[in-house]
Amino acid sequence: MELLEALTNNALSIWLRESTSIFAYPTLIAIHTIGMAFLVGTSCGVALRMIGFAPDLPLSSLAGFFRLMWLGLVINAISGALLVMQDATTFLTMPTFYLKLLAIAAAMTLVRLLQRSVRAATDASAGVTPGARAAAFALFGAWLIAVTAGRVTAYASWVGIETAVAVVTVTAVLLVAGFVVVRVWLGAHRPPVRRADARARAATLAKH
Amino acid sequence: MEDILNSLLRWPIVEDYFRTYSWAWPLNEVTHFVGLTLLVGIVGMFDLRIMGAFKSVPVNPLRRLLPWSVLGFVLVSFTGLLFATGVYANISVPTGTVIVNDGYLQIKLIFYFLAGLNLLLFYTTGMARAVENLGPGEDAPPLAKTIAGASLGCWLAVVYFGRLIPWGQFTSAG
Repeated sequence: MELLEALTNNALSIWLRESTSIFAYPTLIAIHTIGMAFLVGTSCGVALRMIGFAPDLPLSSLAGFFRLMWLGLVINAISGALLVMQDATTFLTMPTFYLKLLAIAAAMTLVRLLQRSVRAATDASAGVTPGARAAAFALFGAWLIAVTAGRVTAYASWVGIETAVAVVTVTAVLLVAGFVVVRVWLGAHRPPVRRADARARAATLAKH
Repeated sequence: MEDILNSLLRWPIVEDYFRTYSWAWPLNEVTHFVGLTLLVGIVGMFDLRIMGAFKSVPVNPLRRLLPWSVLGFVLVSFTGLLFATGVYANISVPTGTVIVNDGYLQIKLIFYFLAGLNLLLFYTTGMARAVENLGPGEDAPPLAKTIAGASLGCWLAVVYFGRLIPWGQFTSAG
C-alpha cells in the first residue's frame, strides 16, 4: 500500500491529476486512444487478411505493418503506465484492470504468432496456415475484451459487468447478421472453379 | 442557432434509452472506440502506404480492406449520433448548447469535415485512379502523397480533439 501511495502522490502524478492544463491528463488519455488505433486497428487489418479477406494481398508484404503495431504498443505502454500511476490506488486494486492487462498480453502473443507466420511466408504465393487463421480469430476476441475492460474502468464494477454482457450480445447479433450478408453476397459472387482444378478433381474421382 | 440545434438534436427516445439502461452509455462508448479503431487503423495503413511507407505492399489488394474502414465509419457515425441526440440524459445540458460552447467538439467537427473534403479531392483530382494499380516498390505521385498525409493528419486530429470533448465548456457559464 505504501508503494501505491508513493506512485499516486509524487509530483508528476499530482500534476497529471490536478493540473487544469489540457496537456496534462486529457492529452495523455487522447494519446492513449491514438496508440490504440494504431496497435489494434493495424493488427485487425492484418488479421482480416489472415481470415480470408483481401486474399490477393501477399503475406510477405505485410511485414512492415508489424513495426506500426509495436510503435502503438510502446506509445500505449508509456501513456498507460502514466495513467495508472496518477491514480495507482484505484487501478492497481481493480480486477477489471488486471483483466485488461491479461487480454493485452494474450493479444500481443497472438500478434507475435501472426508476425512469425508472415516472416515464414517468403514465397509470394504462400497461404495462411490454420494456426495463423485461428490466432487471427482469437485476436479479435482479445482486443474486444481489452477495449471493453479499458473503457469500463471509468465506471462502477456492476455497470462494467452489465456493459460487458451488452457488448457480447451486440457482437453476437452483428456477427450473425454479418455472416448472413457475407454468405449471400459471396454466394452470388463465388468465382467459377478453375478448369485445371475441375480436371484434377475428375481424375481423382475416376481413380476410385 | 443554439435554440434551433436544441430542438433538432434532442431526441426523447435516445434520452430515455440512456436514462433507462445503465449499460447504454458505456456500450455506446465501447462501440464508438471499436469503430474509430477500425476506421483510423485501416485508413492509416492505406495512407501510410500511399505516403511511401510499407512500399512492398501492392495497393490494389490492400484496397480490399477499405470496406472495413467504412464499417468503422458507420459505427462511429451511428454511435456519435446517439451521443449527440441523447447527451442531455448524461449531463443535463441540451445538445445545441454543448455544440456552441465546446471548442474541442467544434475543432473535431471541422477536422471531420476537412477529412471528408480531402477524400472528395482524392477522387476528383484523379489521384484515386493514379494509385490504384501501384505494385510493390512503386511510388505514388506527390499530390497523392500530400492527400494521404492530410487524410491521416485529419483523422488523428478528429480522435485527439474528440477525446478532449469532456474537458470542453458545456455551457456559456463554463
